[in-house]
Parts: sequence; structure tokens; C-alpha cells
Amino acid sequence: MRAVPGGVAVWVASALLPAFAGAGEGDVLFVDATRSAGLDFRHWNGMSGQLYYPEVVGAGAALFDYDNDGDLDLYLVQGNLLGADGDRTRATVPWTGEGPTRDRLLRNDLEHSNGRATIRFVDVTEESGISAFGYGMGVTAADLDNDGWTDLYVLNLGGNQLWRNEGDGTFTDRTEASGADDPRWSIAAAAADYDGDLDLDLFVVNYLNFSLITHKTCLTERGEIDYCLPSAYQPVPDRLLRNDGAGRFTDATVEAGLSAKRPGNGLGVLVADLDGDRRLDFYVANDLMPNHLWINVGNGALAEEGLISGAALNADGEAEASMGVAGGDYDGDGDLDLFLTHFHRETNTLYRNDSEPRAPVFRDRTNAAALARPSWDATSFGTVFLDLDLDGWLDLAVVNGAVTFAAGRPRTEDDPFPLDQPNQAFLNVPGKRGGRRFEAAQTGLLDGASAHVSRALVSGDIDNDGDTDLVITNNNGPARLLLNQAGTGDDWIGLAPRLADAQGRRPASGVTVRVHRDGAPPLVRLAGASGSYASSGDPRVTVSLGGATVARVEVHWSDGTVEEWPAPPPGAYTDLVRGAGAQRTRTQDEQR
Amino acid sequence: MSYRFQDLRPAVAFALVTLWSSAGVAVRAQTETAGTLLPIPVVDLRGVDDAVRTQIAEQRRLLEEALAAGPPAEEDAARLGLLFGEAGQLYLVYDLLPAARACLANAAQLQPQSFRWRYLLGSAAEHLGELEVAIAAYEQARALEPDDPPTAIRLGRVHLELGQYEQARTHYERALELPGSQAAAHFGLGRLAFETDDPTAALAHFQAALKDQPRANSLHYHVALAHRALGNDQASQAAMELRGEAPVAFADPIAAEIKESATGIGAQLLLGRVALAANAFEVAEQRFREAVGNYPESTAAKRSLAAALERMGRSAEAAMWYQQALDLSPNDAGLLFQTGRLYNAERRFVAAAERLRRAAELEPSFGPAWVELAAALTATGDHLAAAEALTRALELAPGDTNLRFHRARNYGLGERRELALREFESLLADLGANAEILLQLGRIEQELGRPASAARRFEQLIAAGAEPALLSRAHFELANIRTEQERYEEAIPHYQRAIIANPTLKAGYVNLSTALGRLGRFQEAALASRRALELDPTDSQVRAAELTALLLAGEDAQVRLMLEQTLELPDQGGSAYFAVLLVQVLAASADDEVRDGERALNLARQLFQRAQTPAHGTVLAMAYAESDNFEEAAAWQERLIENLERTGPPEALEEARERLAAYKAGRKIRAPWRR
Repeated sequence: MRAVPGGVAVWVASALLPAFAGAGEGDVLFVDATRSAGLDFRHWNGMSGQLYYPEVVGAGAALFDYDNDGDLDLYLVQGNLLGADGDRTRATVPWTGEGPTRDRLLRNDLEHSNGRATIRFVDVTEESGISAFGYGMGVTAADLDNDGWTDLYVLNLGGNQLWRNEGDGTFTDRTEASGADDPRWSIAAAAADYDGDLDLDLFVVNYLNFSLITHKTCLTERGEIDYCLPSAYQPVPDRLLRNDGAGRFTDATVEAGLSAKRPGNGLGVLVADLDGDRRLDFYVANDLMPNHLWINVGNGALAEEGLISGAALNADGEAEASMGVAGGDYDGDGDLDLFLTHFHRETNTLYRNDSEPRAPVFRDRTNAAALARPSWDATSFGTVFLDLDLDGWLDLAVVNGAVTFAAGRPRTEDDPFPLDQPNQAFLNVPGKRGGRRFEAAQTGLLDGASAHVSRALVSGDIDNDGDTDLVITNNNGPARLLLNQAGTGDDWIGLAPRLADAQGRRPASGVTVRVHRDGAPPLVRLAGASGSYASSGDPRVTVSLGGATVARVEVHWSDGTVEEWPAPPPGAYTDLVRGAGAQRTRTQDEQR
Repeated sequence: MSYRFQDLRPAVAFALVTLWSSAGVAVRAQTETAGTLLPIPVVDLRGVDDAVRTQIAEQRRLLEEALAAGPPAEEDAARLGLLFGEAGQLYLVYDLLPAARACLANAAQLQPQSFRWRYLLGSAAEHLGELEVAIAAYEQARALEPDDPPTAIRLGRVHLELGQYEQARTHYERALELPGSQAAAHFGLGRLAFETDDPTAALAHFQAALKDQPRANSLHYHVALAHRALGNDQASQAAMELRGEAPVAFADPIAAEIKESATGIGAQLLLGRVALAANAFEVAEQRFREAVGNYPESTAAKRSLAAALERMGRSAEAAMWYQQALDLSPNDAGLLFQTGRLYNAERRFVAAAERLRRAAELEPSFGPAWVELAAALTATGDHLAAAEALTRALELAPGDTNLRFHRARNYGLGERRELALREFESLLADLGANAEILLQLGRIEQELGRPASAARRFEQLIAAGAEPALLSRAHFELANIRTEQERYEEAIPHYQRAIIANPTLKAGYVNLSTALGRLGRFQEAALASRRALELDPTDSQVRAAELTALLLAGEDAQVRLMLEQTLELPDQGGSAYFAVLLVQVLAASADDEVRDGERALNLARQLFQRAQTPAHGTVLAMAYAESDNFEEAAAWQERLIENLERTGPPEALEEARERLAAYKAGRKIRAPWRR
């Protein structure tokens, strides 16, 4: 294990440190601000002894600025009781919260005083009008009706919900009116302008045909009852919803070509221009089935090129149990690579992007990047690329938690649900034979002192100090807020790509940002909220400069245009509103 | 309108397994008596299949006995090593890897010249992700048997996973020289080349592997990727088309022996289950039959055999073995459920219902048992009991619209129509304008004598659109309502649309014929009946309808010909009716060319001799009149009237008297069907 390099301002968290042999005070990057920030949310999976599959799958969260006050608020998805005749007293773990189980909206009342940020989350669920009482799985936040206020699309076991942000602190249920409902078991969604008309469409990822009636009892090879694997059920198709610009959706699944492909057991989705042709593509992480790479071929059509591009199967040619997905330029070559999280006794998998425009090519570089062994024994879910040590190279964070007892520790009377597993962080370092590889990092609270059954990993600059903070959701456990203590200086820029409206407030999704530096290769960052697992992250990007000078920044928009801006001021966020920058024509290479 | 209700059948492959409540057997670490031997991690066996548990417990007992004897003498060390090795193998079989690793490490220590234990130790460590331990164990195995191909392959693989490419290459190249592992070695070298950005070398190795092992069609995937990396897109596409699931294999006798060497019913059942999972049904059947033969008192063995046979489609045999398992464990809810489900599939609904009811009552929280029971009860016509079973299922899945739909249907079929109405209306509120619900609502409204409401439901369904079968039903039902209201002009287009949506709807043609006939459009009515007959040539009522329509259209000659042909047909169900009709045509047609009084009289006499019915008496009188024997005609008619005065309907009596008057006046009857 390699320690996080010194030179960044950190402070020691707690007595958890002795758990890490060899760790010193300077090694801790995160502090647990859950309690101090008033984050009091505990996920409840409603298990009642029948081992219903959905119990171990949820749930997600979203970081988004619902009140347009410049800081990130938090939406947390809740579970519910499954079976047990609706009798909560029969739940294995009692519901100890007040009132019914429901999703929660927490407003961030961020204050800065004497150079120090104070985060205080205030539960505004009741006054927001959001009444999400379903068995929740995931959420995505995006401005779906182009009014400058970020809306919510909540994914459930059962009907999904679209909550329109009215701009006055309240939300209204527009599920039916918008046509965005999906009665199946949905896990995640990506909001993205796939048709280049500058409104955000929805790609909804659905999982399996589970219901209480189709519930199956599954056995290990030793004959013990355990949670099922996805092969016990049938996959249900994903869905593409085209936005008409005012928040009404048309089902474009068939016309886009999605139905031409055998459905997958979808869990994660990432939207980005993955083949460099300036159109947004979708990458879907499927559980124990080949992943799908939906390449946008224009005119509203998507072509599935997962297999031929090498992004569907690992280097052994095997489909893995993909859960979460992250996109980022880990090797600094200017395109977006993919990192997939998987089941235990599978490695997490790093796919290096070697695509040419309209010719996607991905190569499994897990072994070379030294990421195989660390993930062998973990069941991994949420994952993000982030610059942990502020050196300009994208590192990795992964949260873990088993889904079967066979993949966890042995069950005992004292430990009847031993699914918890430590989380992990990896620093991006030079490879031994060139290229880049990853080393396990000691980041204090992230990598395992208090293990839970973690699911979503949501990243964002919650205290607006230029580094990436994390929210981790835990199945049947508390949500945690980990504040990154690395970034306290001004050696960073924050960029918020926004689609034009009167106020220029609409966060873009899936667009690529390039930061050109004097005397150094450009840094490429993916802006937008998709990826990880069942969640929705900060739509802005922060870029650590490592002392370099920024020459200009450039945004590749979803309609294929590229705009440039001069160097933004360091140590602050700058809105990059589409239409306000200088239009850049394509280079000869890009046109080809 | 897109939601479709499914058949009432839970799509489950279900096995109820009772959790073991007794504590598992734990092996205590015996390091104090066995020197430096590793402690064996405690394995909690609660919940484990009883056969597996027994097998593991027996192995532990042997170990404990050996360890209890104290530190082994040198000559006993080999025996203890063997016991540890066998235990390690057993743990490997059941995926209890930490215990397997410890046992195999001990075995390797006690039997230092054993290649087998070191090789298996490497395998256990590899599965645990302890790759350095695996490499060390494999290297020790290699030192004992330098030319073992699987060891070279495994060493190459582990080094590759660690990104140690040069070491991996060394082992794979060594494997290339050994017999039986060339394909796997080429595959490893291909992967290595691909990972180090040498697609040309990768392609050569993948192609060599494929040449050596053509059945390993998963290799085409790697060939495709190598081609693509080289820019050969067409070759890449072509190779991808050939991709399959068969992996590269290499002979690994020890790994294969592990499964074979494990003994006992647990192992046999496990092997059977593995075979079953791989769709190797015959192997699975053989394993399970061995288990049944060796352990005739094992419920699990018989259940497994039955399940395998069921998967193979041999339902009768499966049912027999389920029953034998039930004889051993009569209160096993899982067995009762499986047996009941099988009986349902075989349409033995009464027997199915009996078993499923017991299963559901034993495991009331198991929804599929209630659903399957409801399916059986529905099929037996016990609709209210079926609805009750669905209520129990709905308590477990309150929002399940499919179950609510079937419960409502059963309420309707069980004549609890108001209940059905309420349930369907509630479903309608939840799901919107659903075609199946609207159809059911319409039918129930009809049964409740509310044709106007029923018609509105069907109209709503038609307006909202639906798949052709449902649309056809709606048009048909709506047309029937209009027919009953004698609004034939409105009924006809709905019948026609019902037929367009479902061209095999015989009833649609039949009822269309009726409606057309009521409007006097007899030719069209006859044509509609003809279409119905084409769908079902044995339906004598439809044939009669066609003939009647033709008669009313004045096609007497055609009717006579058709009747004569019909009466020659074998097994014509309505032959007596058609004979009566033929006599009438012969005796009373308005067409002189058609009438034949003598033939009519002969036929009528035969009919009357066969059965002295009023119909036969009527046509006999008619035939006499046509033969100009009015006296006999009047006499037969008077006898008929006497009979009708005692038993007949008034309108028949009136008609009979009119005919008597005609015969007495010397008049013949003409085309009476036009009345």
C-alpha cells in the first residue's frame, strides 16, 4: 500500500488510524462529516427472511443543486418492506425511523467563514412535496424540462417517478404527464442529449423480471439458501425516452434500435462520447451478461458495438457481473476509458479506449494496471474516477458489499448478514513499463475502517473547495459523507458546462471538457452526472493544475459543436454557457 | 393498452429447503498436537444440505480421531497427510476455500513429495486471489513434476494476472512444448501479446490455438479483436460471427479427479446438479439414479432425480419420483408444490389442487403455491376457491395486477359478478384503459343484464385500440348486444370487424349470418354461413343455417342438391333434421323442378317408421298432399293436432290447423319456410 503523497493539506481524522499498519497522520485524505453535516439517513432494505433479490441491490443517491444556490444538495433513495404481508414487525431488522420509509431530499446550507466551509444538511423532504414511497433503487438528476431547475427521475422496483422542480423549493409528480414511467425493475438512468437537439433525453436501465411471485429460492452448491444470482431470472429491456423539449417523453427504444439486441441485466449506465465522433454514446453495465456499448450513429439511431469493440467481455472473453461503471481519461491520452466493477472472484475491469472516430476499440488493461488482484475478493458497486491526490491524474474509488452469503463471510448467529466489505481507493501512478497503473491508497475513511454493504458512490465538490468529496450509500445502513481535505488552495479550476437558457442554468450532461495547459498535455474530463451505480453526481468538473498554467478550456457539446474559453480564474467555479464561448471548427483529423 | 395479463402460472423453478436448526460441527484447531500444522478454519454447516453436511462431518471425524491420537509418528505422518489432503479436496469441491487451503497446506507439509497436494494448494490459493501463495505452491509442484502441462498453464495464467508478463511468457512457452496443452498455451501467449500491444503476435497465437482446438469457438472472439486492432475490420466481423461459448480447454486430470474422488450422496447430488446446470441431462440422470440406488431413503436424491426428469420433459416418470420422495417426506411443502405443478402441466387438475393446497397450507407465505393452486382450481371450475387462493397470493404481493385480474375473472366465472365488477374497475383505475379489463367488464355487465353499460365498455375498448384478438372479441360482443336489441344494421359492421380482426372466428360468421337473415339479406347470410362451415365442416347447425338462408333466398334447387349430398355424408350429426328438411323441399318447394311428391312420400314414411315424432308426422302429411292424397294428408294432420293439443306450443297448433284446413280444401303447402 502506498501512502498519499505529502504536500497537500490534510488533517487527522480519528482513532481509526491504527487500523492501517504503517499509516501516518499525513495519510488521511477524507474526514467523516456525516454527523457534523447533519446527514442522518439510514437505508432500510425491508428484508424479512425470504432473501428477496432486491433487498441487496439498492440504493442510490444524487448530488445536485436543486435550489440553484451554487452548492450541492443531496437526494437519498430509500427501500421498503418486501413481503411479510406488509407487516413491518416481521422485518428482520426493524424500521427505526420516524413515519413511513421514503426517499429524502436534504438541502445543503453551506457557509464559508474564515476560510472554512461548514456543511449543514437540512431535511426538506416534506416541504418539497416529494412523496417517493416506492421500493427505491436509483436516481438521476437533470433539468428535463429546460426551465433551468434540476428535476429528479427516481428508479424503483415497480413504477419510476419523475419529479419536476418548480423552482420554488417544491417538486410535482410529472410521471404520467411526462410519459416517463416504466413499471419494471429499474436501477439507473442517464440523462443525455443523444439526438443533438440540446434537451436531455433519458436512457433507463432495467434489470430483471423479479416480483414477489416470481421470487425464487436459490441454493449454494452446498445446499444453503442464499440470495439468487441474476441467472435465476430473465433480463428486462432497457428503454430510451426522447425528450420533446418540454419534459414530455416519447419511447424511442425501438426506433433507436435498442430492441434489436437481446436485453441485458442492466445495472449501470454511462453517457459520453466514447468513440470521439462528437455524438453521445451509452455504455450499459450488465450483470453476468455482455455489456452493451450503444454507439450513436446519428439520426437518432444507436448501434450496439460492445463485442466488436472489445468493451463487452473481459480479456478472457467472459461476460462479467458488471454493476457500476466509471468513465475517465486515466492514461492522459485524450479519450475516455472505462472502469467496470464486478462480483467477487471476478476482477474489476479497466478498458483502455483506443478508439478512432466512429470506430470504437477498447482493450482490457486490468492486469497491466495492477487492478486485478485487489478486486478479486470484493463485490464492487459504485465507482468514480477522481483526482484524489491533486496531481492531475485520475485515481479510482470503489465501494464494495457482497450480494450473496457465498461471496461474504460465513453466516453465524452473531453475524447473520455478513455482506459488508471494505471500500477501496487507488492512486494512478506511472507503470513499470510505461503507461499508468494503480496502487492501493490509504485514504483513511474510504478504504475500510468501518465496512458496510456499500452500493452507491456519489462524487462532487460538496464544500466547493476544489476537491472531490464523496457520499456513500450503504444497503441497510447509514449514508456517509466523506469530505476530502486535500484541496484548500487555489491551484485548481472548476468548470460548469451549461446549456443556454435565459439564466444559463441548465447543467449539461455527458459533455467532454478539455483543459489546455502551457507545456503539458491537455487534461480531459467528463462532465455530467451519469455513471457509478444507481446514482447521479456533481455535473461540474474540478481540475487540479499541479502548478501548471491554463491556456484555454474547451467544451465538446452534445450537438457536435466545440467552444473555447480563455483561462478561467483559479480557485473558483466558472460557468461555461453554450454559445458564450468561441466556436472552434473541427481539425482535419476530427473531420476524418 | 400495452399491458398484457399473463397466464396464471408462476414462472418459478422452486425448491423449498428447510434450514437446519442444529448447530454445525466444528473442527477445533489441533495445532498443539500436530506441531506446525495450520489450524482448520471453522466452517459453519448450518443450512447446508444434509447429505453434504454428513459427508463433511465424517471427514472431520476421521481427522479429529487422527489428531486426537497425538503428534504423529513418522510412519503415521503420511496417513495424516492423506486425511488432510482428502479433507482439502472435499472442501474444494464445496467451495470452502479457506478450509481447503489450510488442509492442503498441512497435507503438503506431511507429504512433502506429493505433487497432488501442492498443485491443489495452488488451485485453492488461486481461487482465493492469493496469487503469490498460488505461484509458490505451483512452483513447488513443478519442482516435483517439471513436465506437468496444467502446472505450466496455471503458472502462466497467474503471472499474467499479476501483470508479470515475462514470467508468464516463460511458462506458456514451456507449456507449448508439453503434450496436451498447446491450445491453452497459445491462448495464454495470445492474451499476453494482446495485452502488450502486439496484435500481430496475438492473432497468430489465437489462430494457432483455434487450429489446435477447433471446438473452442470462444477463440473467434479473440481472433476478431486482434483483427480489429490490426485494422482488418471485415475479418474482424467475420470472426465475431463465428464466436461461441466453448472455452479453451486443457487436460487437468487432478481437477477432474477431485469431483470423482469425493464420495457420498452429497457429492453425487452435487455432480448431478453440476451436470444439470450444464444441460447434460443424461449425465445428471445417471448421477441422481446412482444416488437413489445408494441412498434409497434419501428424499433429496429422489427429488433431484424427479427434477432432472422433469427438465428432460419426462413428466410421468418425474411425477412418479416426486411421489416416491413424498412418500418419504409427506409434509415437504416443496415436494408437494413441485408435484402439484407437474400435475397442473399434465392437466391432472384435481390431483394438482389437492397437493398444492397442502403445500400452500404448509408454507402459507410461499406465493407461487397459492397461484399454482388457483390455476388448478380455475381449471376444475371451482372458481370461488380459486379466487380465495388468489386472495392469499395477493396478501403476499398486494400490488400484483396479474393476480388481481385473475381473481376478478374467477369471481366473474363463479357468479360473484358484483365482486368481479368492483375488482375490474379498481384495476381499470390503476392501469388505465386496459383492453382485457374492459372486455371482462363488458361481459360481466352483459351477464348482469346491463347491455347499455356493457356496450359502452366494448366501445371504449374499440376506441382505445387493442391487439387483434381482443379487438375481435369486443366487436363480437358489441355486435351480439346489438343483435339482441334487434339493431341488426348496427350489429353487422361489428361482426364484420370482428371477423377482419380474427378471420377464424366461426361464431362471428354464424351470428353475422343470423343478423343478415333478419334483415332479409339471405344470399349474404348464406355466404356467411358457408364461411363458418369452411372453418368447421362438421357443424350441422351452421349447415342448417346455410340451407335455411338459401331456401329463404329462393335457391330451392341448390338446397335440394346440397341436402342430398349432405345425407350421403358419413357421421352427419343432424341427418334426421336434414332428412325432414329434404322432405319439405321435395313436397313444398315453389319450384316445380324441385318438387317430387313420390320421393317425398317414400322418405317421409321411412322417417315416421324410424321415429313417430311431430316433425315426421308434419312432413308425412305434407308429402301426402303433394302426392294429391289430401284425405291421408288431412288424417295425419288431424292426428298431429290431437297430439299438439296435449303437448304442443300454441303457435305450432295454430299452424297445424291452418294446414289441415288447406288439405281439406285440396290445397298444397308451398314454401312454408317463408312464414
